Formats: sequence, structure tokens, C-alpha cells
Amino acid sequence: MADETRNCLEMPDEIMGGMILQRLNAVEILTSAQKVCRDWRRICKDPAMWKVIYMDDGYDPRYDIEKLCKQAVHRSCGELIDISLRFFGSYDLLVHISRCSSKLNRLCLRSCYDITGCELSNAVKMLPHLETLELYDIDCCAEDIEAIGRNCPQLKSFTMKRDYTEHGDDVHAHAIANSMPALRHLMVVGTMDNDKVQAILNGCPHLESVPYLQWTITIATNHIHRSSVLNITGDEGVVYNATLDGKKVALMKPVHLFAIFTFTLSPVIGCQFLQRCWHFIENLFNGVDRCGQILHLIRWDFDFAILSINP
Amino acid sequence: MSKKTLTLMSKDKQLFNIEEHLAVQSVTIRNMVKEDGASSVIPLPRVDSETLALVIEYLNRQQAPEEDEDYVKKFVDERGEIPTLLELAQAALDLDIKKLMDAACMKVADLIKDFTLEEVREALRIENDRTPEEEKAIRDEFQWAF
Repeated sequence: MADETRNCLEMPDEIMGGMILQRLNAVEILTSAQKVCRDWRRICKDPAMWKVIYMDDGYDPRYDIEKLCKQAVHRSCGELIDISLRFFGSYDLLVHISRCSSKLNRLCLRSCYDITGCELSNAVKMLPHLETLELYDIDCCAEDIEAIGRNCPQLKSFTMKRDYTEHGDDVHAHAIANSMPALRHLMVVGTMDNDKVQAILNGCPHLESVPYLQWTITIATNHIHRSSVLNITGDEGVVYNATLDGKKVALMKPVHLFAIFTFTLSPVIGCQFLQRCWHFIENLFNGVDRCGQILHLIRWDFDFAILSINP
Repeated sequence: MSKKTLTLMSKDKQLFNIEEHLAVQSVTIRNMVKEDGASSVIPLPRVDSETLALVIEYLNRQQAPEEDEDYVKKFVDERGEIPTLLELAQAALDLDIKKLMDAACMKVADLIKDFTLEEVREALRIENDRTPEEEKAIRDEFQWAF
């Protein structure tokens, strides 16, 4: 039996704070852990505990989640670098986060229905160091995206997706291309034609010029009848030659390349799409069989197909 | 050349033998061996014998690297008592065995997640050292949250 007199007060902060309490989420710490004893309260007030705040795993109606979030941000004393919100949040909260957290590097908003794209683009003005912005189910028009890009010149990763709809919107490709020149990682789902793909590849040169950084470009289309065929060929295992409908679109050096095709058209067109996809897959195989292989077909049904290639 | 053996001594003066090439998974021991060859007994004044026996059992595992993650998880799962896990975490910290420490701490965090305040205090043998005034101050501070 272990030493009976041992209690957690003898544990060094390194273990208790750094290793154990850190693994609890913000709500658990604020509503429970910090009340256990003085020592835990002291540890839970340490700004180092609050550099990363994830409040995205469910909603507890017992608490005013927005106030808890403000409290958590307040405790970081400006050290916050990574925050994730889900199912709550307002412009007021976003401004509070921005004002208090000039070091913020990553912001993820998921289903925060009370935040508009315009409000978001205003709030990020105060976040000059933001490098990663992930938006799920946030409505942003082209102007909002341009404003976000201008306000966050260091933005390296941008994600804009919908969690709950089957098909994507029209991608504001030109807004992205015009305002986010530092992008290395882009994840958008929606409709894109050749011009838009071309605009993004032109406007975001780092998507291709940093060969060892992982980047992703996701191309989605539900305009199947336009019969876009993306053809990718490999060159000495590193450089990929991409053509869209036979037109060269760019030289790319992807580590991972994902292609997502969504379609919500009639089954007939769906079937035609499947045939096209096989053509697409064959092209992929032809292009990469010397230097890589299709690792897996992540999902394959009538809604969408996702391919992942690892060279 | 026969395999070299090291001797570790726990807080309660019990001796444990372990082959050197296994013991050096501990960064602390590795540094000691590098510095002075560690020919004599290595004292571990903060680790009791039950815990040291567990650590030795862990170091002696014969796992392929790709199964190691699962093994260490299972290893701490089987020792699901919080006091034991805390001892283990402390020993792993002293000996600088990162995987073991991470797994033990993770397990403790998982266990206390769903506990009430009283359960946490009981499991970790913590006295509620707050005065009624302090209790009130905290309640007031968090009034708005409820």
C-alpha cells in the first residue's frame, strides 16, 4: 500500500498543475477543481493554465458559459494563444477575447450562430498575431473575408466549412486570393470553377512554395455538368503538375492533397459523377504511382467522396 | 560481454536490480550512468518500494515500439487507484520517464473529471483547508455563473 500520509499537497505543481489539472477543461476547472483546496485554487489562477482554452465539448445549462469563458480569458492575463468555442459566443465576448489576448495565434468558432461575419472581421482587428482561423457554420460574405484577411496579415491557415449542410456555398475565392497572401493551408468546401481555383493558386503563392510545410487545398464542386476534371501528375516524387480540364492550373508541391467532390444533384447526374470520379482516380493513380499511393478512400457515398493521397 | 546490471534503492532502503540498457529509459538514470558509470547503488529517496517495483515492471516490458502506446495505457489502467497513480507520476517525474508520467497523469485527470468536490478531496486525500469566509468569497465571485 502506498504511503498513507501522502496527499496531493505534497505533489509538485509540475504534476498537479502542469499535468493533471491542465487536462481538465475550462468549465471543469472554474466550476469544480479550483474549489477543492487552496493549493488547487492557486494553481488554477496561474496564467500558464490558461494559454489554451477549449470550450467546445458540450453545453451545460447550469452555467452561464459566456461568463465562464470571459473568466477563463481574464485568467490568462494576455497569455492566451489558442481558443475554441462551440455553440455559444457573441460579439461582446469576441471583443473581450480580442482585447485581452494580443498573442492569440489560433481562433476556432464552431456553430457560434450569434456571431456575424462582419462582427468577426471587426473583432480580429485586435489580433495581429492570428495565424490560424477556423470557421464552421459562420456566415461570411466576400467583404467579410477580405476584411479578415486585411486585419490578420499573418494568417497562415484558413478553414471555412459548414458542419450541418450537405453542399457547400459558393466559395469566395477571389476574396481569399486578394487578402490572404501568406496562406499555407486552406480548407474550404463549396463551389469553385477553374477561375476560382486559378485565383487562389495565384493569390496565395505560399500554398506551393514551401515544400516541406503541410498544406491542403480542398476543391469541391457541385457543378458536375460542367465536367471539371482535376488531373494531377507527379514529377520526381515531389512536384505535382495539376491540370483542370486540360488547362494547367499550377505547379504544386503537396504533402497531402485532398479532393472533395460534393454533389446534391439527381441520382442520374450522381452516377455520371461517379464515372467521372473513376476517371479522376485513374488519373491520380497514373500521376502518383511512382511516388505515392492513394492511402484511403475516406468516405464514398452519394454525398461526397474524399480521397487522401500521401506521396 | 554480459549485460550490465544496475541497483536502485527505494526510500525504504529496498534494493532492486535492473539491466542497464532497460534502466536508461529513465533520462535521470541515463545521465547518472553517463557521468560516473553508476557502479554503486542509485538511491531514489522519494520513491517507495511498491512504486519502484511498478516502475521496474514498466521498464522491463518487452513491447514492440508500435504497441508501446497501448501498453503504457493498459499498464496505468490496471492500476486505477488514484494514490498509486500519483506515486507513479511522481516517480516518473523524478526519473524522467515521460511516457509513463503522461499516461499516469492523464488517467488521474480522467478519473477526477466526473467527481464531486468531496469525492476529489477524498480520492486525493485533500483536506478542505478553506475557512468559511474564503468559501463565501469564492461563492460570491462565481455567483453569476450559476
